Amino acid sequence: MKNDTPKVFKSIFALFVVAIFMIGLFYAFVSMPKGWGVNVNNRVSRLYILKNVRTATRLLDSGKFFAKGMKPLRAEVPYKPIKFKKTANLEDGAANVVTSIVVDYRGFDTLGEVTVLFLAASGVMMLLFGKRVKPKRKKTEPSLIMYVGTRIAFAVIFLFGIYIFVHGHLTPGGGFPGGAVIASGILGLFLGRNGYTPNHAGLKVFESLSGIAFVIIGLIGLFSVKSFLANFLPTGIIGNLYSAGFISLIYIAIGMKVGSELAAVVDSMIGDTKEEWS
Amino acid sequence: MNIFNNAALLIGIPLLFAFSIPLFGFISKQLTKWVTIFVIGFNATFSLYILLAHKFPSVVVMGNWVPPFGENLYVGPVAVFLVTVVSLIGLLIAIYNLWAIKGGDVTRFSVLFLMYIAGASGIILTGDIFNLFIFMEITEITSYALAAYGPERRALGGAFKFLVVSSIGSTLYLLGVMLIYTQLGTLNIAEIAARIGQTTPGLLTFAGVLLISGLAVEAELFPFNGWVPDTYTGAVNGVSAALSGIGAIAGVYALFRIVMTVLGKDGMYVLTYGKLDLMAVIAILATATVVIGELSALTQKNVKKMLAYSSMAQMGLVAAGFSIGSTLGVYGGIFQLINHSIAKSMLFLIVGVLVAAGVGERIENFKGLWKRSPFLSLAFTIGAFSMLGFPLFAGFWSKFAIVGASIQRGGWYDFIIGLVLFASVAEAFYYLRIVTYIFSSTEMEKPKIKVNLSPAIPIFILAVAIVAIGVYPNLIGNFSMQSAGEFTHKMKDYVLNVIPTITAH
Amino acid sequence: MQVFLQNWIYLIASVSLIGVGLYIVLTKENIFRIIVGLNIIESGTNLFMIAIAWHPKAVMPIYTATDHLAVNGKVIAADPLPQSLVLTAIVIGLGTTALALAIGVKIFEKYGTLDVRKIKEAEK
Repeated sequence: MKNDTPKVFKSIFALFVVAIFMIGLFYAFVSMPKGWGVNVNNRVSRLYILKNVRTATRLLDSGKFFAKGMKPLRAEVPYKPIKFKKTANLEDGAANVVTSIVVDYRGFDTLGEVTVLFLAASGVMMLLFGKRVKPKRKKTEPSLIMYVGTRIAFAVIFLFGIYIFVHGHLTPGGGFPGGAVIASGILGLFLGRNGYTPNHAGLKVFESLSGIAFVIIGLIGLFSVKSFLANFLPTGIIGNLYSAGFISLIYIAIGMKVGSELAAVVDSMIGDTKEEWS
Repeated sequence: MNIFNNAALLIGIPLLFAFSIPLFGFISKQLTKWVTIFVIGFNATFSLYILLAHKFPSVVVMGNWVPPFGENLYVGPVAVFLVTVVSLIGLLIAIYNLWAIKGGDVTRFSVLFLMYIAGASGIILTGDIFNLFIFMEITEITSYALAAYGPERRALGGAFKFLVVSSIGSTLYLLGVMLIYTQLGTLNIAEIAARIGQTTPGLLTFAGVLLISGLAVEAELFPFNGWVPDTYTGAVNGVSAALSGIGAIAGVYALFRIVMTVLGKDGMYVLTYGKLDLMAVIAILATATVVIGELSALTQKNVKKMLAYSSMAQMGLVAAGFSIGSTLGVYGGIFQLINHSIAKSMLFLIVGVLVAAGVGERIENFKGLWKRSPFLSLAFTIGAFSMLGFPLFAGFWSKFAIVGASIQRGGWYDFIIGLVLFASVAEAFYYLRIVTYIFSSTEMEKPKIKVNLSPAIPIFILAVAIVAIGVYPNLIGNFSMQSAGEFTHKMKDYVLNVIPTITAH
Repeated sequence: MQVFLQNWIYLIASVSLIGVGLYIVLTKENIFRIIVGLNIIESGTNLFMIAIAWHPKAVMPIYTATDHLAVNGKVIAADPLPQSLVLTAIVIGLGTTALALAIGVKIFEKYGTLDVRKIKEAEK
């Protein structure tokens, strides 16, 4: 985009691009075959929901999973009905199927996701790094209610965050929402008092240790079950708090990591800094 | 399927140390750079071991869920070879950074640089189409931050441009992945590759266009490469070297893994499924990239900007080589990719040393460099000769292979011969201009340039590598030839290695 | 076409969100607005992914005491896989936005403006 391009041309160009995109997507939808719909039974998710991936693996090894023309027979993999609070020793013990995919079946994605957030936080901190200076604008002092209220609320919010990530394998939620809730509590502390600074070294150590814990859980899997990020703990009875093997451990690590990371991002974005290049 | 799960350490160990580098940062900032070198050195050693001990092809199963149900890494000939190259170049740039990176948040810089290498390795290793997206995001997010690092303010503009372009690109890629998922219900590359013929052609065409537009950002193909000049010019030289040397490898690999393995048909020459032959589309885009890149590079007065445009043009040549679709073409493409990475990262490192010594970035500043530093002048000349494909330098053999492949394919692909010749002539013009400046004499006596050991080692090793490949091309050529088959014979060399029973019924 | 009838409102909404976001990114000159545009594109993609996972008769993919996710060998739950991918995509979007904002803050510090044209002029 040149500086001197008139605005009209720019808008027309943009509309052109958008139109091509939308027409293409519409064409894609229209060209779908008849009778095609959102059919979970045709997708690999069916195996995750019914928790019969191990059975499917046995079929695959004996060459019976793929039919002629390389069509997978996902709908024909046998399964045992799962009863809440009764069925034990499933291949993955989480009642929340989304969690079992996020942490167990596709746990490597989650490790990458944690890394992305860690790198983004590192990038923000690297860019906004420097000597802390006094802010240029004068801030209004928060009222007494704000000051006291945020501190009381912080305890409740913190507890709620922990609840969310400890129950990640049973209810909607998990490490990321839990961590975000905790970070919002810390954001409240920032609002409640001018010049509030969290313990930077503490946040850094906390963040690093929880990240290391995640990778070490993965490495334990590599050395005990011979596969990185494999579940090495018993899965228990579905629906119990102590079930689903290593999912709760990983979610606790993720929750602590995300909480401290987002708090550190908020902290570095609120403070004004002056760069120093030696 | 030979399972060698320990290859997961190629991702696991860098992650472990990336998370713990902030703790090392409490001890000393200099220590964090050494940790980076140590970890990348581990990766380089381990991947070299896999390459030389021939522990491939093997499938690394993640979380004990075998493909196509879980995620996996595929350690094939391409992956091992490219990961080795990426780690070795990364190691050399990390050694250079030991001297170059001062001031600012060195600890975080080390984290980001380490994860940039690990992310690029992840792109190359992964066998899952969504996992590829995640590793793409890891490399992209680190490269925005790395490109914005530095005291100069022009770095920020380049980084922001890169951020906007590539985050739109990755969104489009994600849309393409989801469109394919609605049809096949799986995310495993091998299963998609085997069953791609079962999708609707109309939908597949649009999904393919979306995937290409997402991946072409990092592969620096024409309509999506507007970020290249600004970002390369603005970034610190070590980072520019990493972007052109490592990011480009990962980007081109991802593009052709998707286009040739996932969307392509098995055959003598790879064509793609759908209503549009995407290989031909890429050939056209590559041509445009080469022409625009070379013509823009001709007019540049700033050496870094010139190198950036030249990098764009070279990526176009690589894509042109791949788009021929035969084994020989892919061989030429991979060979050209490796040569470009070695030479271009060396040139950027040399410019970095010169800028730090106060020489400056403009072409006129290179006048009489031979008197001031014979070592750097010689290394720059070697790099330039390799770039323009002078006989007996590394670049010659790869351009030769691309020309040979286009002659073999015949038909309208003959224009690639002209393209390579045009690129060589243009490159000869602007690279030799600098070389003549370097060897011309000036009246003014200027002080000699002292080169520290830490930048000298990587420059020396890269220069030796170029000459060695030039004299004995089979050093890289054998591995490239081995790799090329994996792209062109997807069923035999990729799908059946990952899911052996897919055709059993 | 069946998907189009089932989820048409979500699919149309997601595609238009992406279109609006693209238009904003391509035309606006203020860095902050460009970041907002990127966010809109991301929301559109996330909505798209949820839309292809859901159908009107779906139950949530969580085992509870009452509902059974499979009836007569047919799974009736919504597709959990895109939902878990959305979780990832959201986090990645958050990271990109945070980084973009940090770069924006730095640009404002060093150039004194957020206007792309003025930044280009300042770079001669």
